[in-house]
Amino acid sequence: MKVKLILVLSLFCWVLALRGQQPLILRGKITDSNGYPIPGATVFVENQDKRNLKGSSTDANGNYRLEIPILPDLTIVCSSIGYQIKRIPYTNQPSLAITLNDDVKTLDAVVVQGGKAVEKNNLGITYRDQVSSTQRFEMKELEQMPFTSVESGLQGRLANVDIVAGADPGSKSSIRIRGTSSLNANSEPLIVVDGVPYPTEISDDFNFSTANDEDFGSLVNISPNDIESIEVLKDAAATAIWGSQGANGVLLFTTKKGKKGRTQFSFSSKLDVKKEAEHIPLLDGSQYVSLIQDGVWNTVNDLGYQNGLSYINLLYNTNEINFDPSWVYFDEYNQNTDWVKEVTQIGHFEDNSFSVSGGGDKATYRVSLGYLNDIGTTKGTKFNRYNSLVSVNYRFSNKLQVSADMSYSLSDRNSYWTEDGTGSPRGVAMNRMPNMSPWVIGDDGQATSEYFTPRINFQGSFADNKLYNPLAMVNESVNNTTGEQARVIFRLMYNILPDLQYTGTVGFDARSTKNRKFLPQSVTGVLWTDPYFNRGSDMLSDDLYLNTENKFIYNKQISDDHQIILSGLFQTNEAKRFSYASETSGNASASLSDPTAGAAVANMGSGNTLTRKTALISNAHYTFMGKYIINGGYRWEANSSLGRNHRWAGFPSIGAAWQFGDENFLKKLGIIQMGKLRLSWGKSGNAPSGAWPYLGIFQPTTPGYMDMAAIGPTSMQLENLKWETITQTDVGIDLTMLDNRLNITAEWYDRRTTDLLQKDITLPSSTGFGKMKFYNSGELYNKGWEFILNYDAIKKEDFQLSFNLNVSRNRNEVVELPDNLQFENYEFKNGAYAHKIVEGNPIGSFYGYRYLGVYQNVDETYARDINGNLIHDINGETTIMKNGIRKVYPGDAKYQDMDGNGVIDQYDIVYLGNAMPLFTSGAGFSIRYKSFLLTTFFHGRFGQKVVNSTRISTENMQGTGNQSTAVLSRWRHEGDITDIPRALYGEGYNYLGSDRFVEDASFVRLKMLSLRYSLPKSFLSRYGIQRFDVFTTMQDLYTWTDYSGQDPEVSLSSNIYMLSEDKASTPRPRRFALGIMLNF
Amino acid sequence: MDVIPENEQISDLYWANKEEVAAVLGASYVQMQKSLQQLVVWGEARGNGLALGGFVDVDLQRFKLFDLTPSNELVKWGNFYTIINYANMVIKYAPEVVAKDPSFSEPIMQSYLSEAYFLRALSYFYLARNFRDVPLILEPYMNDQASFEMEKSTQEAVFNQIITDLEGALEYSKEVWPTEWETKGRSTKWAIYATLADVYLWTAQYDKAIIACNAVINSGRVGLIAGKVNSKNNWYTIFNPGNSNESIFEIQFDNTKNQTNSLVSWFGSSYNWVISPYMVTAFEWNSEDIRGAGATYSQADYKVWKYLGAEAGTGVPRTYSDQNWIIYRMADIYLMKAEALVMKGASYYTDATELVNTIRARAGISQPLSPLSTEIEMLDQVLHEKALEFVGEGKRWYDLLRVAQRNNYVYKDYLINQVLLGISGGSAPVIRSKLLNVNSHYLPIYIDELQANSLLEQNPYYDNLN
Repeated sequence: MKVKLILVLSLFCWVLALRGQQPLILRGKITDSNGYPIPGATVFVENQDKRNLKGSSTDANGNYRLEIPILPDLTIVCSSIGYQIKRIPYTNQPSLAITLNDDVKTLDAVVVQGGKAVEKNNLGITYRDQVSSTQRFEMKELEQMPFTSVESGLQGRLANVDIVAGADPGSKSSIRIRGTSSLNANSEPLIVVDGVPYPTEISDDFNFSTANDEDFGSLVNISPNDIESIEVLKDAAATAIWGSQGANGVLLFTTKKGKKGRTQFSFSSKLDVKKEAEHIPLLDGSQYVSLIQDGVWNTVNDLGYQNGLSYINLLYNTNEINFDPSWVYFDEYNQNTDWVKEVTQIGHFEDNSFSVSGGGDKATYRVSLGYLNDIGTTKGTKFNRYNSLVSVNYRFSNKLQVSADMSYSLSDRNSYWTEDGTGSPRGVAMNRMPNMSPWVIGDDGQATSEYFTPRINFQGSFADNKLYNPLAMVNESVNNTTGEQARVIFRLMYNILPDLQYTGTVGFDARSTKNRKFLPQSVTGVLWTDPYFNRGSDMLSDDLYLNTENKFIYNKQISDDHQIILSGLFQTNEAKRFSYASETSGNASASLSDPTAGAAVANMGSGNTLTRKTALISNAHYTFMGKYIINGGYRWEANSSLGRNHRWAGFPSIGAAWQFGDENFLKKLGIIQMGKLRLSWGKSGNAPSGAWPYLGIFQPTTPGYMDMAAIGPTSMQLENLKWETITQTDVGIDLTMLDNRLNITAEWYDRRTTDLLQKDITLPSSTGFGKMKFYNSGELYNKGWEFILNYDAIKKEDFQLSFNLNVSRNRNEVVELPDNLQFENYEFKNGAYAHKIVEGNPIGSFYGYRYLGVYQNVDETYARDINGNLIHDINGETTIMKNGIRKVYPGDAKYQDMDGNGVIDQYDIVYLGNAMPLFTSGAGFSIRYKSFLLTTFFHGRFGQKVVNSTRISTENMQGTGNQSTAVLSRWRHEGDITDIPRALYGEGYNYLGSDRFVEDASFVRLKMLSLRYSLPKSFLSRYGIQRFDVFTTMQDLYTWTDYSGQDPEVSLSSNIYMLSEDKASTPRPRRFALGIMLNF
Repeated sequence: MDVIPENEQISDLYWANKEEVAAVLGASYVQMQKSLQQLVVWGEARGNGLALGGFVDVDLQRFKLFDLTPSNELVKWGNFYTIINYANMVIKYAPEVVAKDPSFSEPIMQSYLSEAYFLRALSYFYLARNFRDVPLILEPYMNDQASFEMEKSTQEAVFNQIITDLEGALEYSKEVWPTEWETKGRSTKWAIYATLADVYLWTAQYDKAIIACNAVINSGRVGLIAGKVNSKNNWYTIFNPGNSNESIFEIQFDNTKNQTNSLVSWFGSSYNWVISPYMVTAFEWNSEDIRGAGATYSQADYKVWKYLGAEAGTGVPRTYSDQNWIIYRMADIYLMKAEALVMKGASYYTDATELVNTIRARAGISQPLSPLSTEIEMLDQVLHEKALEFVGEGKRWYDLLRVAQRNNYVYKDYLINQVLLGISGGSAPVIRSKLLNVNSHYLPIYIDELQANSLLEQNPYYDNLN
């Protein structure tokens, strides 16, 4: 082996020596047009493929010395910044003097030089010839808008890309392209950055302490300043090359790249202030106390003295709601605290970025750095990020080109402690008794700096109902997520033949996320024995993604009339995830947040998974006469999360397009510049999430049986598990009119999902198993249309006016129910809605009672049948209506008795609405007058219904929680005109899940209003500055809506039964920003 | 593309050696431990030996008052089907392992199979006695190829399968295991015979029942232990420390191995159960009975001392809740044989009474009983003795039901009257009317099962309660 190696090495040396045997030397001088020498100019020799073989540069006197290899057809190339490049064929001259001419053009308009080369998609097909729908968005339009994560800026910009963004710094958004197409598999689109898939989903296998992790948007690691453009792929023909990962649509992000020309420096800085709208008004201390007393009295009256004894005791023996100055905590419970105000603040945001870019003939580069700091409007929430991106492109020759993109980002997010089942500080603050002080009151009657967190009070305790001091929560608890991400994409392009190109891509993406949480005792007031006493957790996850792609494109123009493009791709994708988490309680100190030794372990866990995907793709594209286009492709794909029987699946796609605008009869009319009709059909698949969900697993049971080890199966081997298939048909039309000033795209589609993946299906226990992880069954479709319009109304030197508009509609319907679907059991109780998926109805529907207001008097409470006749019992007596098992009294909530049996129960439930919007839309206009530019953008969602849970919890008047001032108009006496029932403490069914709390959350929002002033070029050029813009931007300035909650933009839940529920999450604040952009 | 988890044992690679086969058997026994609540509630709640304590558990209360609905959590049968699935796996895969593991010889394999057959039969026996008709599943579910939905088989078919399994298990069963806990806590020839005797009684095969009982009685491996030794209550050692010479099969628990149960909680601290006033009166008839106050129950609070105390006649409690749950012991065999003899006709009444008297004498009662004239009187004599001997051991309801349902329910009134003896208060007429419909003698199928298995029909009497 060793001998061989030495032999090869020496052979190699010998070859090198041979090649360097007789180098020719070329000498000469380089001067400018005036004859002055140019120092530092580059001289090199290239072969017929324009490959750079040897290079050199001139000395201070402009002299150079260049070694020339012995090869045919050589060219000497000479260049220097500010001069035109010169190429001189090498004809064995012994010396060569070169004169370079000034290059006026490069100095002036470097930006333009980026080239208007015909842009092609990933399969080498020009946009003009595509058969599928893509919409492209230039990030330039958003450069005046401050935001952390790119998706929040995209809201409403792209047709039928429905984005609901979280308002807390660094929180995750949900994105739906053309509706929700899956019930249980991931419905988020695939994100592709620079041609490499960018994973955003949180692994399914790691479901411990993910309550926080899930909320951590992974797109926040990409700085919006580094993105050049975003393209959305919707139909099956377009997403075909991304396959299963792209079944929910694809967002292609292209980062900014260096451009040939002089080195450019650019700097931008944005500052903004965020202010929330006023929160819903809540009762003050004395109003609260009187409400509680009113409620308790009503209950006692209903129950009678004997049965209501416990309530009477509550009323008389609860110091918190009585006036007893001798009580030790009298001061702490006689305050007027606006809890919501206590936990909120004015937020602000800074974003600075700096980049250098440039390049020459051979190489281009861009380096950027950014720093962002975002302080949220909930106290204790903030996010900051450092990021950098380096991209280099090098052209060895006409044949070979190599590029590399490297990015690194470090982000740090702070929030408050969270856990499933524990309310958010805002939610708790809303219900916290307002007569209570957040602080211990000192002897002087002033608040001290010690939090007032009694272990238990009238409202409950942390142990009973997760009650805590919300101010201490936002200030003292820790929830810190640090994310580190390093990404490298390496790409090589080689023209094997003039018509055949090879592209190889390798992408690495390494991520490390660390989350620490701590819940100090000052928040909960629990005793040291409680499992939540000084509870801390620590979670670490490391992810590594490796993507490769080998692509061959054969592009042949056979004659003027025939063009074919054939492509073949081979893709692989591997994801490795490793994580651990530990959670302890009873840590040594409230200032420690890492789990410490000696603490009690509450939870521990680790995960270790590996998934692989691979795909073979072939595509053929044929264009006849430049007008008639046909395209067909086939994707053969495998995923390691499926068993061998169903692992490989093939997905075909076909499409056709007709450039009818090029037909002579239309051309003659001259009305349209471009007109294209497109038609495509294709399939794609969704694989079940998680690593190896199909595998049957045996796990030990500890302890065993006496001394016998015990191992049993915990999950079943799923041989039948297969791909969820989405079949999509798309018809579209593109029109360009009015001298290319008006662009219209209209699109119609139909997406049918079959073999829906059902998750965690309950099995008959006679199988010996409780659940199976996945099961394919059911059918669902999404139908809709999109309309996009861009119009440059006026295009003059000094005055420009342009409009853009997109409207989209998606209708979702369950065609066939999964044959094993099990509904959540409906329980008759206050505040609960029935969630069902019904054939023919969309998913995300709510079912509940019809609310008819308040029973005014005893007469109204008599039960009546459907025809309005009184119902009599066996003895002929009239009966009283019942809500459930409880008789109603005047002042109680009145629901419609659908079956007319005198009892409100589950048979009176009706369909109330749906969480899916009927339309979504985005529109804006921009006006430029001289150096001023005014840009606006509006975003609207229409027709979606939301369960306003915040109102449920602030208008129920049944518990100890504080209520909104709406309840001041509650029913008290007969004749009160109100639809708010009486207060009733601890009893009754006055807030069953009814349409009373289902609201239409349609809205139109002025997302952006921005004014920019560009300093005149003539002035700037004196200082060598190319661009200096100053701008001010207002975001979410005004919202037109009838919705009564704080923010109609309610995020979609991942629970398909209950898609939108307003749970008092942070509302979108108004933002006022100032910023500059500078290029030099 | 085959990616295999590093930190989990996958089914494809399982069934490679005999230890893995044994571990699945181990898991079946663990599942048996987990079924304890069903063993107690199903066997006792509807009988008259125990009464509810102070703690109100709604589902339990409804069980006791025959107010059963398909949503009662206590009627879930999943634990037994898990045992059945494990046993089915062993039965199917153990023979394949022989080829893979040279140390796994045919006799060892057969002995494992015998254990699996026993566990499967025992589980089906509990199911058939409580639900009457149940799905009869004899193939393991290892993957999703087989249909999950199964119809019910008749009780008769299930009983036949049980008998086939048990008779087949006899050949390779062990008479004795190397350790004491295994001999008492795993399947043995005697455990199989005891179960067989019980099934034969249910299926009216009295001669076979007697043969099975005799096999145990003459085994030389188990025997009735003495009632009193040196004036100490030796009978109580059946329960503490347990695994006595009398024991045939007990589900083992041991605190030192972290295997505890909730018996102390159910019978003591959380106060679910006390002995019924009817049983207290029955014990009070005979002051000589060493099984009464101080042994079976404590005089002061009527708690079932059997499961709470360290010894009889003192107030010394158990240190841990790790007492074994006895499924069969020798006294059972005597009384089962007595019942079989009674059923064979009047000429055997003397022999039957003899057996009952053996148990009475062991309990310290000097006055022997004499044979009675009618079959039901004789049956009552046997069952009454069994009730005294086995208070709270999960047998009473099955004894009443078995006797009552024979020959087209000739003794239905006997069951009703016996049940009502354990009921106090005004609900007695309601329960009587319910029990007149014999379908109410069986449990409803839990609501989730019906949703997940569309071929399953709710048991009659409950089908309109969904």
